Amino acid sequence: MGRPIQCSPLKPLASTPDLAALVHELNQPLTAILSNAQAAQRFLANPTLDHSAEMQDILADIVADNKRAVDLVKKLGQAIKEAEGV
Amino acid sequence: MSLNEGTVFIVDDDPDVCRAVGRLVRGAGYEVREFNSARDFLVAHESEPPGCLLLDLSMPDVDGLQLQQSLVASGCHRPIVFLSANGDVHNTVRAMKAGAVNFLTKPVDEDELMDALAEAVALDAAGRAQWETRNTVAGRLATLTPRERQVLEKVVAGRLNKQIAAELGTVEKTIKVHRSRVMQKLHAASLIQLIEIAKLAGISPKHDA
Repeated sequence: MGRPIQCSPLKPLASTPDLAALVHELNQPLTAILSNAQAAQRFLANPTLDHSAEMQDILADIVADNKRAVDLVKKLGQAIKEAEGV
Repeated sequence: MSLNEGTVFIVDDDPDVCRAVGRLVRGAGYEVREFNSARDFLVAHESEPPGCLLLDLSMPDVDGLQLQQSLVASGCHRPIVFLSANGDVHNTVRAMKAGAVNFLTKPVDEDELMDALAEAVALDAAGRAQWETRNTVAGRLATLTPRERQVLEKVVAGRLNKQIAAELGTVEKTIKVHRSRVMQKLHAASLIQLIEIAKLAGISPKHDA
Protein backbone atom coordinates (compact mmCIF):
# COMPACT_ATOMS: atom_id res chain seq x y z
CA MET A 1 0.00 0.00 0.00
CA GLY A 2 1.51 3.30 -1.09
CA ARG A 3 1.18 6.44 0.83
CA PRO A 4 -1.18 9.10 -0.58
CA ILE A 5 0.68 11.40 -3.01
CA GLN A 6 1.70 14.57 -1.28
CA CYS A 7 1.04 17.83 -3.06
CA SER A 8 4.16 19.91 -3.33
CA PRO A 9 3.82 23.67 -2.80
CA LEU A 10 2.41 25.40 -5.91
CA LYS A 11 4.76 28.37 -5.81
CA PRO A 12 7.44 27.09 -8.22
CA LEU A 13 4.88 26.46 -10.99
CA ALA A 14 3.79 30.08 -10.91
CA SER A 15 7.23 31.36 -11.89
CA THR A 16 7.69 29.23 -15.03
CA PRO A 17 6.04 31.80 -17.33
CA ASP A 18 8.22 34.48 -15.73
CA LEU A 19 11.32 32.49 -16.63
CA ALA A 20 10.18 32.18 -20.26
CA ALA A 21 9.38 35.89 -20.39
CA LEU A 22 12.82 36.76 -18.99
CA VAL A 23 14.59 34.54 -21.51
CA HIS A 24 12.52 36.13 -24.28
CA GLU A 25 13.41 39.59 -22.99
CA LEU A 26 17.10 38.72 -22.78
CA ASN A 27 17.11 38.11 -26.52
CA GLN A 28 16.34 41.80 -27.16
CA PRO A 29 19.58 43.37 -25.82
CA LEU A 30 21.56 40.42 -27.24
CA THR A 31 20.06 41.14 -30.68
CA ALA A 32 20.86 44.83 -30.37
CA ILE A 33 24.45 44.14 -29.26
CA LEU A 34 25.10 41.67 -32.08
CA SER A 35 23.59 43.90 -34.77
CA ASN A 36 25.42 46.98 -33.49
CA ALA A 37 28.75 45.13 -33.45
CA GLN A 38 28.22 43.70 -36.93
CA ALA A 39 27.11 47.12 -38.22
CA ALA A 40 30.35 48.59 -36.81
CA GLN A 41 32.37 45.90 -38.62
CA ARG A 42 30.66 46.85 -41.87
CA PHE A 43 31.29 50.55 -41.33
CA LEU A 44 34.98 49.95 -40.57
CA ALA A 45 35.32 47.79 -43.67
CA ASN A 46 34.31 50.83 -45.73
CA PRO A 47 37.03 53.40 -44.92
CA THR A 48 35.92 55.89 -47.59
CA LEU A 49 33.44 57.45 -45.18
CA ASP A 50 33.97 58.96 -41.74
CA HIS A 51 31.91 56.91 -39.29
CA SER A 52 33.42 58.25 -36.06
CA ALA A 53 30.20 59.90 -34.85
CA GLU A 54 28.14 56.79 -35.57
CA MET A 55 30.81 54.59 -33.96
CA GLN A 56 30.44 56.52 -30.70
CA ASP A 57 26.66 56.04 -30.79
CA ILE A 58 27.11 52.34 -31.53
CA LEU A 59 29.51 51.82 -28.62
CA ALA A 60 27.24 53.76 -26.25
CA ASP A 61 24.31 51.56 -27.31
CA ILE A 62 26.36 48.37 -26.90
CA VAL A 63 27.31 49.42 -23.35
CA ALA A 64 23.69 50.26 -22.48
CA ASP A 65 22.32 47.00 -23.93
CA ASN A 66 25.02 44.99 -22.19
CA LYS A 67 23.94 46.51 -18.85
CA ARG A 68 20.35 45.73 -19.71
CA ALA A 69 21.33 42.12 -20.38
CA VAL A 70 23.24 41.93 -17.09
CA ASP A 71 20.16 43.15 -15.17
CA LEU A 72 18.03 40.54 -16.88
CA VAL A 73 20.52 37.77 -16.10
CA LYS A 74 20.37 38.84 -12.43
CA LYS A 75 16.57 38.74 -12.48
CA LEU A 76 16.70 35.38 -14.23
CA GLY A 77 19.05 33.99 -11.57
CA GLN A 78 16.72 35.24 -8.84
CA ALA A 79 13.67 33.74 -10.56
CA ILE A 80 15.41 30.38 -10.93
CA LYS A 81 16.30 30.39 -7.23
CA GLU A 82 12.68 31.12 -6.36
CA ALA A 83 11.43 28.42 -8.73
CA GLU A 84 13.73 25.91 -7.03
CA GLY A 85 12.35 27.01 -3.68
CA VAL A 86 15.74 28.06 -2.37
CA MET B 1 30.82 44.74 -50.29
CA SER B 2 27.84 44.36 -52.56
CA LEU B 3 25.56 47.34 -53.01
CA ASN B 4 22.03 46.44 -52.17
CA GLU B 5 19.13 48.45 -53.52
CA GLY B 6 15.71 49.00 -52.06
CA THR B 7 14.12 50.11 -48.82
CA VAL B 8 13.83 47.91 -45.75
CA PHE B 9 11.00 48.94 -43.43
CA ILE B 10 11.86 47.78 -39.91
CA VAL B 11 9.06 47.46 -37.35
CA ASP B 12 10.11 46.56 -33.79
CA ASP B 13 8.73 47.88 -30.51
CA ASP B 14 12.17 47.65 -28.87
CA PRO B 15 13.88 50.92 -29.89
CA ASP B 16 17.39 49.54 -29.24
CA VAL B 17 16.80 46.55 -31.50
CA CYS B 18 15.20 48.75 -34.15
CA ARG B 19 18.14 51.16 -34.15
CA ALA B 20 20.82 48.44 -34.12
CA VAL B 21 19.27 46.32 -36.86
CA GLY B 22 18.63 49.53 -38.79
CA ARG B 23 22.33 50.38 -38.68
CA LEU B 24 23.31 46.91 -39.82
CA VAL B 25 20.87 46.92 -42.74
CA ARG B 26 21.92 50.46 -43.72
CA GLY B 27 25.54 49.30 -43.54
CA ALA B 28 24.65 46.70 -46.18
CA GLY B 29 23.54 49.45 -48.56
CA TYR B 30 19.77 49.46 -48.14
CA GLU B 31 17.62 52.46 -47.43
CA VAL B 32 16.09 51.98 -43.98
CA ARG B 33 12.90 53.26 -42.37
CA GLU B 34 12.40 52.43 -38.69
CA PHE B 35 9.11 52.18 -36.81
CA ASN B 36 8.50 51.35 -33.14
CA SER B 37 4.93 50.16 -33.61
CA ALA B 38 2.69 48.59 -36.23
CA ARG B 39 0.43 51.64 -36.02
CA ASP B 40 3.28 54.05 -36.78
CA PHE B 41 4.19 51.91 -39.76
CA LEU B 42 0.62 51.72 -41.10
CA VAL B 43 0.23 55.51 -40.85
CA ALA B 44 3.51 56.28 -42.62
CA HIS B 45 3.87 53.37 -45.04
CA GLU B 46 4.00 54.10 -48.75
CA SER B 47 3.82 51.19 -51.13
CA GLU B 48 5.80 52.92 -53.91
CA PRO B 49 9.41 52.42 -52.78
CA PRO B 50 10.58 48.92 -53.77
CA GLY B 51 11.79 46.76 -50.89
CA CYS B 52 10.60 44.61 -48.03
CA LEU B 53 9.39 44.61 -44.46
CA LEU B 54 11.40 43.28 -41.50
CA LEU B 55 8.79 42.69 -38.85
CA ASP B 56 8.93 41.85 -35.16
CA LEU B 57 6.41 39.20 -34.19
CA SER B 58 5.38 40.12 -30.65
CA MET B 59 4.49 43.75 -30.13
CA PRO B 60 1.89 45.39 -27.88
CA ASP B 61 -1.40 46.59 -29.46
CA VAL B 62 -1.00 45.37 -33.04
CA ASP B 63 1.41 42.43 -33.34
CA GLY B 64 3.35 41.27 -36.37
CA LEU B 65 0.80 38.71 -37.54
CA GLN B 66 -2.02 41.26 -37.31
CA LEU B 67 0.04 43.79 -39.27
CA GLN B 68 0.71 41.14 -41.92
CA GLN B 69 -3.04 40.43 -42.15
CA SER B 70 -4.00 44.07 -42.53
CA LEU B 71 -1.36 44.58 -45.24
CA VAL B 72 -2.60 41.56 -47.18
CA ALA B 73 -6.19 42.75 -46.75
CA SER B 74 -5.28 46.19 -48.10
CA GLY B 75 -3.79 44.60 -51.23
CA CYS B 76 -0.19 45.43 -50.30
CA HIS B 77 2.11 42.60 -51.33
CA ARG B 78 5.35 43.93 -49.90
CA PRO B 79 7.33 40.79 -48.91
CA ILE B 80 7.71 40.24 -45.17
CA VAL B 81 10.62 38.76 -43.21
CA PHE B 82 9.66 38.02 -39.60
CA LEU B 83 12.11 38.48 -36.76
CA SER B 84 11.05 36.96 -33.47
CA ALA B 85 12.47 36.46 -29.99
CA ASN B 86 10.27 33.42 -29.52
CA GLY B 87 9.84 31.64 -32.82
CA ASP B 88 7.31 29.04 -31.80
CA VAL B 89 6.07 26.60 -34.42
CA HIS B 90 2.46 27.80 -34.31
CA ASN B 91 3.27 31.41 -35.16
CA THR B 92 5.88 30.43 -37.72
CA VAL B 93 3.36 28.29 -39.58
CA ARG B 94 0.73 31.03 -39.44
CA ALA B 95 3.15 33.65 -40.77
CA MET B 96 4.48 31.44 -43.57
CA LYS B 97 0.97 30.40 -44.63
CA ALA B 98 0.01 34.06 -44.89
CA GLY B 99 2.90 34.57 -47.32
CA ALA B 100 5.92 35.52 -45.20
CA VAL B 101 9.23 35.08 -47.05
CA ASN B 102 11.16 33.96 -43.99
CA PHE B 103 10.97 33.64 -40.24
CA LEU B 104 14.16 34.45 -38.31
CA THR B 105 14.89 34.12 -34.60
CA LYS B 106 16.55 36.73 -32.41
CA PRO B 107 19.44 37.24 -32.01
CA VAL B 108 19.89 36.94 -35.76
CA ASP B 109 23.30 36.67 -37.40
CA GLU B 110 23.96 39.13 -40.23
CA ASP B 111 24.52 36.48 -42.93
CA GLU B 112 21.16 34.91 -42.24
CA LEU B 113 19.49 38.32 -42.12
CA MET B 114 21.12 39.52 -45.35
CA ASP B 115 20.16 36.35 -47.24
CA ALA B 116 16.54 36.72 -46.14
CA LEU B 117 16.41 40.43 -47.04
CA ALA B 118 18.01 39.86 -50.45
CA GLU B 119 15.44 37.18 -51.23
CA ALA B 120 12.54 39.37 -50.09
CA VAL B 121 13.73 42.42 -52.04
CA ALA B 122 14.22 40.30 -55.18
CA LEU B 123 10.69 38.92 -54.80
CA ASP B 124 9.35 42.46 -54.50
CA ALA B 125 11.19 43.52 -57.66
CA ALA B 126 9.88 40.51 -59.61
CA GLY B 127 6.32 41.21 -58.43
CA ARG B 128 6.57 44.86 -59.45
CA ALA B 129 7.99 43.98 -62.88
CA GLN B 130 5.17 41.53 -63.48
CA TRP B 131 2.58 44.06 -62.37
CA GLU B 132 4.09 46.71 -64.65
CA THR B 133 4.06 44.38 -67.66
CA ARG B 134 0.42 43.46 -67.05
CA ASN B 135 -0.43 47.12 -66.66
CA THR B 136 1.29 48.06 -69.92
CA VAL B 137 -0.41 45.24 -71.78
CA ALA B 138 -3.81 46.16 -70.31
CA GLY B 139 -3.28 49.77 -71.41
CA ARG B 140 -2.43 48.71 -74.97
CA LEU B 141 -5.35 46.28 -75.07
CA ALA B 142 -7.72 49.09 -74.14
CA THR B 143 -6.79 50.91 -77.38
CA LEU B 144 -8.21 48.09 -79.55
CA THR B 145 -11.58 48.67 -81.25
CA PRO B 146 -14.28 46.07 -80.49
CA ARG B 147 -13.70 44.59 -83.95
CA GLU B 148 -9.94 44.38 -83.45
CA ARG B 149 -10.53 42.71 -80.11
CA GLN B 150 -12.77 40.12 -81.80
CA VAL B 151 -10.10 39.45 -84.41
CA LEU B 152 -7.45 39.11 -81.71
CA GLU B 153 -9.52 36.53 -79.83
CA LYS B 154 -10.00 34.50 -82.98
CA VAL B 155 -6.32 34.71 -83.98
CA VAL B 156 -5.35 33.52 -80.50
CA ALA B 157 -7.86 30.69 -80.86
CA GLY B 158 -5.90 29.54 -83.91
CA ARG B 159 -8.28 30.69 -86.64
CA LEU B 160 -6.94 31.48 -90.12
CA ASN B 161 -7.68 34.87 -91.68
CA LYS B 162 -10.04 33.23 -94.15
CA GLN B 163 -12.01 31.55 -91.35
CA ILE B 164 -12.16 34.73 -89.30
CA ALA B 165 -13.46 36.63 -92.31
CA ALA B 166 -16.21 34.10 -92.83
CA GLU B 167 -17.15 34.06 -89.16
CA LEU B 168 -17.31 37.85 -88.96
CA GLY B 169 -19.05 38.20 -92.32
CA THR B 170 -16.35 40.12 -94.13
CA VAL B 171 -13.47 39.56 -96.54
CA GLU B 172 -9.98 38.24 -95.81
CA LYS B 173 -8.34 41.51 -96.86
CA THR B 174 -10.21 43.43 -94.13
CA ILE B 175 -9.18 40.87 -91.51
CA LYS B 176 -5.55 41.25 -92.59
CA VAL B 177 -5.81 45.00 -92.00
CA HIS B 178 -7.39 44.47 -88.54
CA ARG B 179 -4.79 41.90 -87.68
CA SER B 180 -1.83 44.09 -88.55
CA ARG B 181 -3.34 46.96 -86.53
CA VAL B 182 -3.71 44.61 -83.55
CA MET B 183 -0.08 43.55 -83.88
CA GLN B 184 0.99 47.20 -84.06
CA LYS B 185 -1.11 48.35 -81.10
CA LEU B 186 0.05 45.47 -78.89
CA HIS B 187 3.68 45.85 -79.98
CA ALA B 188 3.82 42.24 -81.15
CA ALA B 189 6.47 41.38 -83.73
CA SER B 190 5.27 37.85 -84.36
CA LEU B 191 2.29 35.58 -83.88
CA ILE B 192 4.05 33.85 -80.97
CA GLN B 193 4.57 37.21 -79.26
CA LEU B 194 0.95 38.13 -79.89
CA ILE B 195 -0.22 34.93 -78.22
CA GLU B 196 2.06 35.55 -75.23
CA ILE B 197 0.80 39.12 -74.86
CA ALA B 198 -2.81 37.91 -75.06
CA LYS B 199 -2.08 35.31 -72.40
CA LEU B 200 -0.66 38.03 -70.11
CA ALA B 201 -3.85 40.03 -70.66
CA GLY B 202 -5.94 37.01 -69.71
CA ILE B 203 -7.19 36.24 -73.21
CA SER B 204 -7.07 32.47 -73.55
CA PRO B 205 -7.69 30.52 -76.74
CA LYS B 206 -11.44 29.93 -76.73
CA HIS B 207 -12.56 27.38 -79.28
CA ASP B 208 -15.92 28.91 -80.00
CA ALA B 209 -18.14 27.66 -82.77
